[in-house]
Amino acid sequence: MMFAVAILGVLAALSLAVIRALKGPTAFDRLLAANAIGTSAIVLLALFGFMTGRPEFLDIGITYALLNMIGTLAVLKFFRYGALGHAQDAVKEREPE
Amino acid sequence: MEQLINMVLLTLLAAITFGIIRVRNLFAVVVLTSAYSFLMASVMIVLDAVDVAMTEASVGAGISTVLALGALYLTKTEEAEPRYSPLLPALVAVGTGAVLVFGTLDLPPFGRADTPLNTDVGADYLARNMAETDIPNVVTAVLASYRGFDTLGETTVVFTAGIGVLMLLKRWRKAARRED
Amino acid sequence: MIALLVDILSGAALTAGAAFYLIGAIGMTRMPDVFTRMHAVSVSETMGVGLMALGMILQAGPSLLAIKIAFVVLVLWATGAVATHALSRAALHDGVKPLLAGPDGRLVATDCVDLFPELGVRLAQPLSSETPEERGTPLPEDGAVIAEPAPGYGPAGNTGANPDAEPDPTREGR
Repeated sequence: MMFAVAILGVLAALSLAVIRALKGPTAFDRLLAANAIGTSAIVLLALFGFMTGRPEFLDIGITYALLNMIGTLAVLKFFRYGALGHAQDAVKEREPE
Repeated sequence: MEQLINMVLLTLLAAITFGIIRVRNLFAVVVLTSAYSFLMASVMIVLDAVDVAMTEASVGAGISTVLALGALYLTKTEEAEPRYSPLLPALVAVGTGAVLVFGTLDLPPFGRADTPLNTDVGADYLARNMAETDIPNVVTAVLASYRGFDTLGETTVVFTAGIGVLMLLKRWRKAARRED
Repeated sequence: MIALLVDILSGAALTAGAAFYLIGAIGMTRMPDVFTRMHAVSVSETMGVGLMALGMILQAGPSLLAIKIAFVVLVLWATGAVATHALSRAALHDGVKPLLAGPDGRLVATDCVDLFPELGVRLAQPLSSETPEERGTPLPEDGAVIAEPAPGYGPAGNTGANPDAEPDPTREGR
């Protein structure tokens, strides 16, 4: 029961994060939202395992946590050191909407 | 509850897909694709396909993101405007999707006993697995033991492809530097 | 009796954690710029995740499972802080300017230098003034009124006690 409540909360948070990921406006907002989506996926996994009585799959949560970190840092490293344009490009694309 | 989670996750997946189509900044596309992979992995876990979830997360959110970034290093960050109208491709995609959905209507109900899945070798694996291989997870036993050579071949293919991609990226990067 | 107590405690922790998580997510959707959004997400990544994990650990009891959950939470806490730091650094470096409330209450995009003019604090050299067109770009945001920098908040008004401070030597050149 209480796991169901927590899952509902996390699902709502996940939806809000997806809204932010879609709205942008800079690439950093999307990145922040993607990071939050990854965290939500981990929490959702753990809570769902507990709710269905099979919490053994938590090992996958550890993998997700590390992967989430790797993905975020890879993107940020490219922003910092790669000659890849600027996040201000992402601001421009928002104007027509 | 499971149905509710599935519905929410699939709705979010659809929303992100439309976002990927609409956004023209390729960085945003890479980030959204990574988020898509995490959501897809969550769907897989709710569907009880843990191994697929693991693969989806590590390939989709991990390696694909890094490879796409490596490709972005070589190209522009803005997607070019399409030269032709996207109407025909959209029609073809919708048609294919409709045919696929129509195909699922003929599938037997989930978990029915008299489907080929359950009448063929599946029960055999379940019965003999522990005695023969001593691996508690049957999926792992089938993948790594009963079909070990098959998996070895797949791994070799993936490994070769990975090496090829790395060599391509390295070659191009050097060439790009020399032009500067 | 003990089992009931543990159940109540873990239920309370889970509910509170979910509430914190949701609050952080609402903040991420509603806040005006990327730095304040990061600040909101940190609520869900520390208190939200931590309280929910506490609830799950209470349910799991002393077992390997509890250790796994604790490990996941520790990884999340550590990586979340590092990722936030890297994100804000990359954003600043890329020319995203933090929004700050001006004297009339409107939100103004400011440079990092001008954050505390009344204190005379120079945080660092301007992070994003490499090209002229970058310098003048304000950050359009949902609901935020972008105005010209108010008097006292622009570079000209920065008459702090330490205007000629050396650029931070720890900052690496590009």
